[in-house]
Amino acid sequence: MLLRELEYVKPDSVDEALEWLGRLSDAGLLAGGQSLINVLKMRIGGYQTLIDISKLEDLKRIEMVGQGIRIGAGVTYDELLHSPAISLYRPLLQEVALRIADPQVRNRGTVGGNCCYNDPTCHLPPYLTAIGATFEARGPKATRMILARDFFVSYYQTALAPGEMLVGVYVPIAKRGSGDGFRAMSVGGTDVLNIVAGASTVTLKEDGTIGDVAVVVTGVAEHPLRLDGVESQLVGSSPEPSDVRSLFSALDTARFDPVDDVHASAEYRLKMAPIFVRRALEQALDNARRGLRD
Amino acid sequence: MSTTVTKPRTALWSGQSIPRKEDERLLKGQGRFADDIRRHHEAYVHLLRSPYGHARILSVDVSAAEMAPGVITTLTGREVHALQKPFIEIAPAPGGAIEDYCLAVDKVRFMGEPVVAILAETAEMARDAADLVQIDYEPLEAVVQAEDAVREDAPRLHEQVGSNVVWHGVYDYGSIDAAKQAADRIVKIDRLHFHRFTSTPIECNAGLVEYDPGSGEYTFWCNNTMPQFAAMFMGPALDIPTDRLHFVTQDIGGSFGNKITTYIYLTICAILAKKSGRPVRWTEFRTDHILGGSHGNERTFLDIVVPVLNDGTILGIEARAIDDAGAYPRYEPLGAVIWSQVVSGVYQFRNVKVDYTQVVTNKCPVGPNRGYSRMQHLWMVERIIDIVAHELNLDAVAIRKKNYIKPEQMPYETPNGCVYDSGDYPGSLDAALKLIRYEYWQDRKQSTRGSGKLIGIGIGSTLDSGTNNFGQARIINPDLPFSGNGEVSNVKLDLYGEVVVTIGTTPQGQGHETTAAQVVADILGLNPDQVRVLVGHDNRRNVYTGFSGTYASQFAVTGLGAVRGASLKLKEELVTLAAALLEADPDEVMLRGGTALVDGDEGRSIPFIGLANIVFANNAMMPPSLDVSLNCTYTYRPPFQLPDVERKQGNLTLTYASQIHACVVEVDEETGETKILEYACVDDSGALIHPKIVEGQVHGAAGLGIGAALYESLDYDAEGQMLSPNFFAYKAVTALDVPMMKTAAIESPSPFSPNGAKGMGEGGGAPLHAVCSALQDVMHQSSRALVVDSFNPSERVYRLLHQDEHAPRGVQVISKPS
Repeated sequence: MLLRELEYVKPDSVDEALEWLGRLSDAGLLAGGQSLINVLKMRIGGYQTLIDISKLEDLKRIEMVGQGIRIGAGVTYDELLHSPAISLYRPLLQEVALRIADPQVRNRGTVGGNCCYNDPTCHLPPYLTAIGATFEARGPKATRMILARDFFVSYYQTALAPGEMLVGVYVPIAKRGSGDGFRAMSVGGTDVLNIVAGASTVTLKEDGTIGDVAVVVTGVAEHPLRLDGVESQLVGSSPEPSDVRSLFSALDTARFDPVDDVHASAEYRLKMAPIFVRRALEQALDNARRGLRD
Repeated sequence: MSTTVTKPRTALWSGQSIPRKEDERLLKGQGRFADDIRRHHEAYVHLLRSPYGHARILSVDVSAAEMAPGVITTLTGREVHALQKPFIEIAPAPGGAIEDYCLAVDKVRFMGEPVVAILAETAEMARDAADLVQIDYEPLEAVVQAEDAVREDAPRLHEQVGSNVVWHGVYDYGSIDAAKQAADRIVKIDRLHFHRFTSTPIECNAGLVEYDPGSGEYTFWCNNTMPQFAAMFMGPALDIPTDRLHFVTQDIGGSFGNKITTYIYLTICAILAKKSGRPVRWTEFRTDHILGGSHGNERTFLDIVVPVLNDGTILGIEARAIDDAGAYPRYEPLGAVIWSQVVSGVYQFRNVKVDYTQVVTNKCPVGPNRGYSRMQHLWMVERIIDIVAHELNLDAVAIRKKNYIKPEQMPYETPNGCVYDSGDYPGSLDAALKLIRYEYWQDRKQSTRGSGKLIGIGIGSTLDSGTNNFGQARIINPDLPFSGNGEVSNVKLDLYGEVVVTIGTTPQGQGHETTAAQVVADILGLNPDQVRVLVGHDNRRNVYTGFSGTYASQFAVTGLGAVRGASLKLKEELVTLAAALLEADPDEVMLRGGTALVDGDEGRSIPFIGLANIVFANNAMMPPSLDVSLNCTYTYRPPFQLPDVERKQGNLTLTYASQIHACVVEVDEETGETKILEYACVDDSGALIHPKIVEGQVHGAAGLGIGAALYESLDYDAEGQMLSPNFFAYKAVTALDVPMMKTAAIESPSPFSPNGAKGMGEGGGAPLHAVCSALQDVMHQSSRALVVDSFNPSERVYRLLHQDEHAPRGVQVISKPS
């Protein structure tokens, strides 16, 4: 498995990276390389030039910005795991990151790479969709903010325009009374390939009813799907476990169009998706209620 | 690990877990693996592989590739057809008519089959040039399932054979008909399927091949693990005497049998080396290895009939087995007899009839894979035991104990003349159940029901038969000139008194340097640190037999048997020489700490360096009439006879290590996800030379088996497209996937091996049996579905849990009128 010969540039700044990206017609950004290099080795896709952004300090910062945390696109999963800000303000993000493959992968793979690759087995797209993250895209002229629900477009496609690059992800800090959940079906002791995954975030009012909720499933469509119907039924309620179960056992899966591959049949994915997304919601509810009690 | 010792230990070093000698080198990154070897002016091979499962090659055009930058030469099937004779086939007709070349000649028969080889100055240049090769294929209908391959109208892989059958034979021992007559009930099982997987050694296949036109000799720096078997195929194929094939192996990163059949690739390299005049380097990537390396045997058992008594006594087994060899038999159909080393497993039933067919399909050829051919059969036997227990409402532990061969029956002759040397299966089972806290989990099983989780307890009782009698090959093909087994060792005193040991084996992590040094140290009165063991196989050292290598659980017997024999010879020479020099009686001379001395008069002594000096550099001082060389070679030959080919009877293996594993699994009823909560391995490997090395092998075999049971499957679609050609699609087991294991060893010394040890590296596939058994226990509490496949990922468990109660279960119990 050898790469085709290609050009390699290593810019010193985001501006310079954007300049290369604008100047070259067939260039790709190389961050952690955990997906891209494999694709290049298999020669199923490729670029003439790789622009190595893995060492750009501007992309490596995790900082508090207003009511959110700005995570640089070049932050590795391992750096997420060791960030006090994340531990304090969005702890489940660390639980999600810890599930990704193994330490070797987590040492190199990046938040930006996970999002821009947007494979249905990626961990971050469903979770960031659920918690309402915002994506900061810088182009040659301007920077724009893209909501998670708009960012993930289809298999391996994002809303980034040619010449744009993802520079950061804004994650809102968890409010009092809110809780997150993430449940994935994988095989073995690590998540190399998620068959389906569910992600959720819940914010409870002081009276314990649901004020705000997001329920997202992945692995059954071209991008993470928000289950708006479920969400609207949940808002204002204070569901018992049996209510949650019946809600999901009656889930309308008409929009689901899962792939059928060596890891799981489409039929099985269709059966598992409601279960894992329900479990994600249950976890989110548990976390939120615990937060309210504490 | 707790160890039960049934015989007091007398040796100083054997039996101790001393630090491994090879670890200093390996842990410091100073090992030398095949890909570490460099030769001046070497060139790189890239193999262009078939994208089709089955297709006719209409044309191959390498002209553009040959003009590409850095390309030295290419090799096509057409050239190979002229330069190579077909590899010999082990099968007689019809399978013997198969023509196997190192590159596809007229057709491709599996996805990943090498079609064109490109040799270039760099690996990248060779790879890039491959994109310029033009091949026209005419796709043909593929045959992927073994059960389809036997059909009359199936597409044929090898037209000249007349069918897809490689070999067929009926094994008939005792009287299954009489057993059916005597039975209270007959249990019939429609179909059991043992899936295709492999062991994914961390180092893929590799070789550096050089041709010396002056001597006509080819040198293979490689990681083939049975070099003289490779030579047997390659010499005739290249039309040269096998002594022109010089194999050198050093450190090897795992094989599990998978590296035995690399002679195909080494032949490509040999032809290219001669054609180009350059040393040829070939190193597989993982995808190459999974597509075209060596897969484990897939086997389907049909129409299984089990006559039983009401008390659970199993009287026998009848079945049809269809084994899938992939596109070319290569090491096969040896597996078609090797399973019969364990015809009745660990059980006492005496009536067995197996109608065995091996077929070719459009899949990667199989080769030996840890537990080779026996675990498939033993898995069926264990499935039968659990299914019979459940259908008759008998306890899974009790039915095993009732049917196990008892320790007092050892040595035990099986219905086909194999002799189980020793063992305590009931004792091992008790130990395993204790380790998994059997009583606790039996209670928990009840209390967990209704919680969404189901608990299952499983047992896998299995054997690792070691030290083959190669005479069994004659049961496959009476014309094969093989029988017995053997390994050679040379133990010598070097010029300055150093002790140097050479063996013909190809260790891949089994610690041969350490265990050989322990044996030598005990015999020569040394510390193992004072014994140097040369690494690997090198036929220039002239220490090998046709069986040399490391495979099939035999080093502790054949390898160490040879080391022991050579050490004893050297000891006798040392003692004789010292006695003459010290003017003592040989009986009075002892060896201690590298010195020969007179017992009770220790001032009369001479160090090994002094003895070496006299023989090698000062021989005018040799005592007259003494003929010593201090260079002693010994061939260990196990005591085997030729089998009875007609009746398929004979002692096929010397030792039988047993593995009784037990586990507790928790299944999520909603999803089918299976989690192992407890896992225990009780292995009886006879006398242990190095308990920690043995335990390491136990862990490794258990890990691989757990991976195979739950995660690992080599899948093809109906067109023969490989669906799992890399580690993204093929979920190879890792340390993170394996539960904590509890291990214990029972030592029942083998009465047949020179040191009481048994070969034990393969592990008998015990986790496949144990995990399936636990899942069967889960199904028994829910849908009553049968676990009929050896591979049970979540989706399959889910389907079993949700199997319609009224759907055919694939099992029938026929009560006989009393």
